[in-house]
Amino acid sequence: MTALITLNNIKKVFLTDEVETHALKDINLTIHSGEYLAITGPSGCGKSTLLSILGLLDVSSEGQFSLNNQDVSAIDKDRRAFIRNKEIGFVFQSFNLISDLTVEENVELPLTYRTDISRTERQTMVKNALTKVDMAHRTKHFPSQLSGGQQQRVAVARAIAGNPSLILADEPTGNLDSTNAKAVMDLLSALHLEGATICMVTHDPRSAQCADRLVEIFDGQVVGDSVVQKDSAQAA
Amino acid sequence: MKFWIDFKYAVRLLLKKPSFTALTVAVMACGLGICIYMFTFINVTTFKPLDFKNGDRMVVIDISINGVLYNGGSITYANFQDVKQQSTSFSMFGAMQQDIVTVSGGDHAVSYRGTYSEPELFDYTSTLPIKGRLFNTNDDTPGANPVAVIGYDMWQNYFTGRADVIGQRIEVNGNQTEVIGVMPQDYLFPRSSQLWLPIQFDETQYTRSDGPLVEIYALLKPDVSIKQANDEIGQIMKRINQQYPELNKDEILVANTFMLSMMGNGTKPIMVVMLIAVAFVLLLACTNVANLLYARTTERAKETAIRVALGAPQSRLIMQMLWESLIICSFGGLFALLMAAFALETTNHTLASFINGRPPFWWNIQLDASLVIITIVLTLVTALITGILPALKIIKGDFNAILRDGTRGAQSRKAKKTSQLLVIVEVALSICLLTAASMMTVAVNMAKDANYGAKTTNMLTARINLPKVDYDTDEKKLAYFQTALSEIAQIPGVTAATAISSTPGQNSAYRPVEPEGFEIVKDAPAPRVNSLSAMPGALKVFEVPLISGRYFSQSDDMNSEKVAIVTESFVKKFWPNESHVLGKRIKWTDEEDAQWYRVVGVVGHVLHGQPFVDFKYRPSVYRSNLQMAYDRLTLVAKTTSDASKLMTPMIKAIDTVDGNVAAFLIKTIEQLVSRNTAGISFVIKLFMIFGICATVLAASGIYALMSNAISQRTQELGVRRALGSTDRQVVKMLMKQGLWQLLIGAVVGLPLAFAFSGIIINLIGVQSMSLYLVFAVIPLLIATVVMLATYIPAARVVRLEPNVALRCE
Repeated sequence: MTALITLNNIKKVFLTDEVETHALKDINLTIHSGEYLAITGPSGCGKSTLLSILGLLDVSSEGQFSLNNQDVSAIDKDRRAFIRNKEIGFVFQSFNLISDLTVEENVELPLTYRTDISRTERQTMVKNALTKVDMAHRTKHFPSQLSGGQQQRVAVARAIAGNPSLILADEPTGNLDSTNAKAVMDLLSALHLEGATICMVTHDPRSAQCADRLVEIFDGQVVGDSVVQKDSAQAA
Repeated sequence: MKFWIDFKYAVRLLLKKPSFTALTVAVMACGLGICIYMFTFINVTTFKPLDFKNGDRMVVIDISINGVLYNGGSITYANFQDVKQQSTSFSMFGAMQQDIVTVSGGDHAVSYRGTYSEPELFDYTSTLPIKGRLFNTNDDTPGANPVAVIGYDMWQNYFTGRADVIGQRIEVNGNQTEVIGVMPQDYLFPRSSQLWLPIQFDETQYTRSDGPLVEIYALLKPDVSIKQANDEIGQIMKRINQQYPELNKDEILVANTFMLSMMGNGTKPIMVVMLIAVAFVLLLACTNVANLLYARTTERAKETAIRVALGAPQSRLIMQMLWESLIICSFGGLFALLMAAFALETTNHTLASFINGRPPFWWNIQLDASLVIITIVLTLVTALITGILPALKIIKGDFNAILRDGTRGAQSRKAKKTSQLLVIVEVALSICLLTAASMMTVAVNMAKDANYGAKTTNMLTARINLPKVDYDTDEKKLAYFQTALSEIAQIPGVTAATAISSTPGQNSAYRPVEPEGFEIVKDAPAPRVNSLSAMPGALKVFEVPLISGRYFSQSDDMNSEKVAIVTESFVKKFWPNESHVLGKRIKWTDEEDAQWYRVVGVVGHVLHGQPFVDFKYRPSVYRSNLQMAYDRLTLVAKTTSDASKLMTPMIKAIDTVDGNVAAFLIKTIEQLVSRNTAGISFVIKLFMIFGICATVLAASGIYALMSNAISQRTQELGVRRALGSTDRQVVKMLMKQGLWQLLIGAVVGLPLAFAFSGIIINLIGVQSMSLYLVFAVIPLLIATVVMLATYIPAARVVRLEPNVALRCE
């Protein structure tokens, strides 16, 4: 497998007034294409900060970050936005759909920021993504007209619509009941099986079990990196 | 097509909150409407070049005497010729005279505004006649066959549009004159002329001191500015003044645009103040809308964060915000344009009441392409101004934190500071505008109530200019006015009739005099007075109080000693320490073979002219018309009731004396006096409209700002209360913060208001304690608004249970 992401000695320091908070300390991590990775750890350990850096929503204070063999540690905001749009798909805990856009428009939104896709192509990509998450029948609905599970499926559709290299999921089941949580995790697993690279931050051991690899963070450091042992039922 | 997606979304958001959209559109329409209206009004009346080829280089030369600017025919012909020969700043330099001329020869006599000019006048305006020809070089030769070019309106009205008008003969001031041309419709140059006659000066007949007075039109050379031209004229006049000190003392010639010359003294600073005031109103509107949009960015922070996470480029994010402001400002601009067009149309009619006769031709304000362009430009500028703050907030926001932690609707320290700054700006702007507007309203009302020193009610006046040809002797002139007065006196309801060169409130000639015993200091300005001619009994008819001596009598005629009556202000100014001024003498230094006039009476001070500082304190001297025989007097009919009812019988009475003499400017004296303050009253009304708009905008804006700022602190206030703060302490804290903003705003706004109102108050010359009360009342009013705007949302927040406030998103 080829390395999709390589983090070398990544540090993140937050400066609040005169207090330095070391959120991440010397993180070294490689994520390969097609991997399904779960990042776990207690609250405040730096999981979300790491995910923000991986998602190019934030920059590291030190260290090198390569994405698709390209150094993205010190690129400008617009370039980061461009790469984020093309290479990364986000799934948030609180869905983060825009309430004034329809399902279709929400999924289409990241595609509208691209200049290389025509309107017809956009429509096809939106349709395919919504079909994949089984939401093609709700295209004209607004988020408020959907259940939590349906909203998260739309969020997944939005994340995959542009065929990104990486899907970042931040506690994707955190706001869902167990039934809907299972449905969403099944969806992510299905995407993984189709070849998607997924990196998920989660507290939930059941969700973590869905991944192939488990990275544990504690006090801003990687304290564990292991292959997830799946029980036979789950593997099946 | 990407912009279409963002545009649709912006429309959708605005439609989703119709009250927000309606409010912001109304605020922008209000600010933009006033701005478009005032910009157009000021531009057309004051700054826009005349609509002729080279209109931007056309100037008129005014005369300034002792710092007061006079327009219209006060420059001696000798000075005109000297400046023409010596100056190099102008490519054309011509003389003209404007006058009311009487046209007769038909059924009745009609007065028209006429212009005597050199043939080059029409070259100056590059305008050809629609019929016949213009003047040629023979026409202005003394003794040439009298000819006239007439205006379109005169052709249509006096000649009922007859096709064979060229060659028709009319009597102009008693002279048989041939019509040789008709000018195009709307050609009224230099102001509102309907008749142009060749100027025929026989220079051999004049000395330097008794030559005619003229107005000067000139065309600046392409590379010469008005300032450069004025510097050159100033140097030339300095030399002339040194050469002829007794004739030109204190006189300066000043090149000015036709528009500024027409508007008169002190216009430019007033217009500049008004433009600044308008800009303030617009700024206030922009501040309000910017604040509302800014508050929306806080509400939409999460949405923006999602867009950022999805890879939205900054440009798209900024455009998303700017679309909203552009849509709001565009609709605001559209409504503003409609309102401004309506107001300008109304103003066109109002302007006509500011001056006697027809307004100058360039006072024609209407909706045109330039107005639409101004609206578009202003709309784009305001869209940028209102959208820039929210857009900046979008660029600089920490959206990662928002995605991670949520917003809970809380304000950042920076957002809080911005919000506080906006409140301070609103307070400063509204205090400045409201105080200036209120001060000026009080000042003008005081000026309107000015004591003219004479009766200014229940009188009808009519101006008479006797034709020189028919009335070429003093006896004829006197006979006319005496007959006219006798006819008017017989009209039922008339209790007295008289004639005077200028009624109280009307401008009079302001001429240099030498009061006997008054030491005239060399190089100091020559003493000048209002110089008037009155029929015996006139001062009594106007109920001007006699302080000592006597009024004129019928025996003060050509054969008796020359006599004069002075005002009390004259005595105070020139003979302050004299206990017996009766019998002292005065002479007019600008008259050839000036004779001494003996003072036979002292009357109370009479105000001739506008009740403003330039005219208010001028002393006056009256001479008996039986000894002067003026050919231009105002006939006055006094009554005990509504004087306007005398109009028809008075016109009839005047007509019976001589059908070839037309009365004009037939007005009640109240109308004449109110016209004195009509212009400034209009300006003040506009200021009051600004003031009212500013109040509404400021009150709503301050409330919205405070309310928004406080509601965004709901969670913080919930925490404070959870920690034990009482509701009273929370409200007190918020009120204290509001008070600080008020104080800073007042410290900025009050000096600005003082500077603004000072310009107009200096012009009006009113000093009173009540003016300075405004400086207390308006800040109190704004303070009440700020305190209410703080208290109401604060009270609303503390009504929430702390646990609800803590969970507030």
